Amino acid sequence: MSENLMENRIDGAGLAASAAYAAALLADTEPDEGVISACEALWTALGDGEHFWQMSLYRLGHIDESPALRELAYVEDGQVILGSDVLPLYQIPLQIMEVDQCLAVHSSHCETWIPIRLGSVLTGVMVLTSLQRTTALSERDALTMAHILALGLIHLREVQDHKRTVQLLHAVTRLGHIISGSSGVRQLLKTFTDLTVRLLGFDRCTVFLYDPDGQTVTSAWYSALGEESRELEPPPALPQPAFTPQRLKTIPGIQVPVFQREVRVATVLVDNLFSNDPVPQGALEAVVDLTGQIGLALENLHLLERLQDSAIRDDLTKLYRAGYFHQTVSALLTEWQGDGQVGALLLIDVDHFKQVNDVYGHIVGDAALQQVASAISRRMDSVHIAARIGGDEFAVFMPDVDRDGATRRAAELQASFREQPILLPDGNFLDLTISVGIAVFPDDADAFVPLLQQSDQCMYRAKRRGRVLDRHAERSAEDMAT
Amino acid sequence: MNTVRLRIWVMPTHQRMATIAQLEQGIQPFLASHPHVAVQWRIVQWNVAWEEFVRSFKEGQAPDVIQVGTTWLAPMAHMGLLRRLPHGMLTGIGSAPLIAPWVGETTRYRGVDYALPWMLDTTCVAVRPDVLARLGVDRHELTTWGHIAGLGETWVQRTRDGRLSSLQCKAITAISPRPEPVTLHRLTPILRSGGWSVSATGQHDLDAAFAYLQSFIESGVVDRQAVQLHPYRLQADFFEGGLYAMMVTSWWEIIRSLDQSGPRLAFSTSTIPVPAGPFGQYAFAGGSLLGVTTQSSHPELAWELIRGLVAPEFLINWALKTGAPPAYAGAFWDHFLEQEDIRILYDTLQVARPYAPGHPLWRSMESRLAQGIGDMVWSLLEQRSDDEFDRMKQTMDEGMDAFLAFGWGL
Repeated sequence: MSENLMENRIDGAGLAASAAYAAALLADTEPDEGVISACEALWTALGDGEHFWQMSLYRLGHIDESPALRELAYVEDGQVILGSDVLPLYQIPLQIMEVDQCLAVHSSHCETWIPIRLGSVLTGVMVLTSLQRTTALSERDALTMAHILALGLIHLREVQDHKRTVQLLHAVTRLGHIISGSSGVRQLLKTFTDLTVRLLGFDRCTVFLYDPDGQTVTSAWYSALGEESRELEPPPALPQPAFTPQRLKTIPGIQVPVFQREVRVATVLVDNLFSNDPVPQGALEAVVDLTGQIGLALENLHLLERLQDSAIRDDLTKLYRAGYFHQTVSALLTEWQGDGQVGALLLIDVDHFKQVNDVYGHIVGDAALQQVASAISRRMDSVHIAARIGGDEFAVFMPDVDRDGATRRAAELQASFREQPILLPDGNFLDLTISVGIAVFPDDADAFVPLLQQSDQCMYRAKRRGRVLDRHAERSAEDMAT
Repeated sequence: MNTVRLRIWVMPTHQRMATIAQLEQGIQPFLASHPHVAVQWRIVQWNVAWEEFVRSFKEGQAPDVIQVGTTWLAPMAHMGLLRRLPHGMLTGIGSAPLIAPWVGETTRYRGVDYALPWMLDTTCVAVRPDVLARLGVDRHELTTWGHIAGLGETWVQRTRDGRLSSLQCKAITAISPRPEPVTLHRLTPILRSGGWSVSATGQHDLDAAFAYLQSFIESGVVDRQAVQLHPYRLQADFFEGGLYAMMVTSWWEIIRSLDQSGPRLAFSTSTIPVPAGPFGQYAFAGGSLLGVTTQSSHPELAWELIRGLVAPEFLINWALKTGAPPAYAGAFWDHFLEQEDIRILYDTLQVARPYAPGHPLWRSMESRLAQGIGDMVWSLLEQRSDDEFDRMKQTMDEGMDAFLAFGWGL
């Protein structure tokens, strides 16, 4: 031990100067680089390996919301590596809370634990490891170094907190711009869920939409790390629904309800279900800001969709208007030119409908037309396009349906009218029949107007003959006659 | 040519600088043939590695190569953090077959391989033959947990007689209830052999298993004073301090003691096959893999570098330094299989089973499970009331159910 007493003492003034330099480096805007440079400076001032074999610098942080010391860096042989060691407070020598320095002697080495305090508040710890007891670092010099380093550690934490806050703000601003530029509800939800995962740093984002009662979830959009945004079908139930923004109790996450005129229209739920990572500080506020924006955007888009809808849908039957039908089917057929696609146009006319109006009045006539439209809609696939194109005239365009398929569907529709009379508002039933004319793209015509004319002619002939008629069958009959 | 920087994260258990030096040795042939590549290592501690990695990925700063815990693979693959293993890579790494059949399953998620097996982990039941001899027990007789529980009475008797006074031992064994996955690894051999089973949709017969564990604790073999100690601390107390006669632990110290240039164990230590219970014998199967992240800009180079780290000549030294057995047949096993302890390790690996299902939520559920089981064991060790124990169990069950309730879109 006597030889230890003879060893060179560390220069206290030099160490204090290096600690000040290190404290300044810890406030570097790139924290990793700052930590590495600071530790290099400290290691040099502590004798460059002459007295100590290893050095670890810890700062006070949290693990699973419990206080713990997180290692910033570790130095051995002059090499600095960014650390990841974590010491829960129960693992450190208890006396470190009370004293300015303590020594832990192990069988193979000695550890000098130096608490780094700002006033009485512990901000970190430096651990110096030597192979045997050393007196090279006086307690007073260690204390001075620790006081100076405490400022650096406080700066470091603030730089990191500030950086996180800036990232969140940046993400909220960017998402806000994107939300306000969305042209439809689906696009809005897709973009919002995708970007919330990417920019806010959560594992998943789900938006639940409610029906007008604000209770029943009608649809849900979902995005997760490694997955594109999609609609969940059927929508899942929200396990812990809430009416105020809050952290989830059982998993790391946040849910924020979206209200419009005091009715809950949606809930935004972000979570870290896979990683189990705690919700970052400031995230709740960021998500609340975003949901405010998404609430407004949803309201605007719903209004816009309603306006657009009323512009293209017939007020009475809710089927498309003639103009929209013309425009949409024309565009489709133009796109299909030469592609080998087929499609059938069915023109449907209610037989003797004028008499219904004359006998029962227009109110009953309108109700009957609504029922007819509803019967047509029930027999359509989701890709079919149906419209009311005249007083009692309807048209349906069926993509990917050939002549046989169209004839079968028209016959089924006629049969449904025969079998199921129309229910009038007064509770009476009215027997209605329909005549259907069929024209098929591209066999009968390769553009919308001639196709409509063909089906119109067929429909009138069918009306006279009392059956479904298609242009091809009519031509075959004419050929036979010739 | 511009320098390409490959960033690699590994999770060794100790001696960080020595670890890096050895890893660099392993990739020397790779670096020699790719002089434009520089490697930046980061040593990450196991208990924070998952959190650090996911965070780095979200910030767009993920490393190129990462050591992956076997129970992490499913969630990582599900979140799109890992690249698929290049076709033919598993069979083209020196033709060494995997050492146990379950190892190949740990690299796969939904039929796709995402990583290369590296090092393994399984249950080690280490014993002090000298203490057992003083108790009049041959270690080969300890084939069931019941046999070990039976040592409690002998221990008390011999201590009272003063026949154990020259030993430093405090008790037959100790159990840590720290709420960490390693606690699960250490306890599952007893709980599973007591009837507990876990699947992706729930857990069964935990009550029966805890009754079995309680009878083990109450037999008097467990040091109740060690309740606050970390499993790694208990390991040190056993291997370095000699404070216990046996310990359910990992194989690190046993394997490291094979290294003639490495540290010697302070006491004569041996191992026994994992004891059985009423529901049979259970040994934990886990370990680590090497994968390339989807944020790597140089995946081909990264996979090539990994080849060096699974080369047989590297793995033998790596195993001796880290104490983890290699996943591949070859040099290490050929060299040491004659030794009784290593033969027991080999046999244990053959019967070991991963307790974790390959489920994307498993990492989160494992943490909750470890916390719940840890709390319940702590309650038993501290002899708390039944009500408190039931509340802890209910909290854990609700926590586990919550993960499933929120698990839409999987």
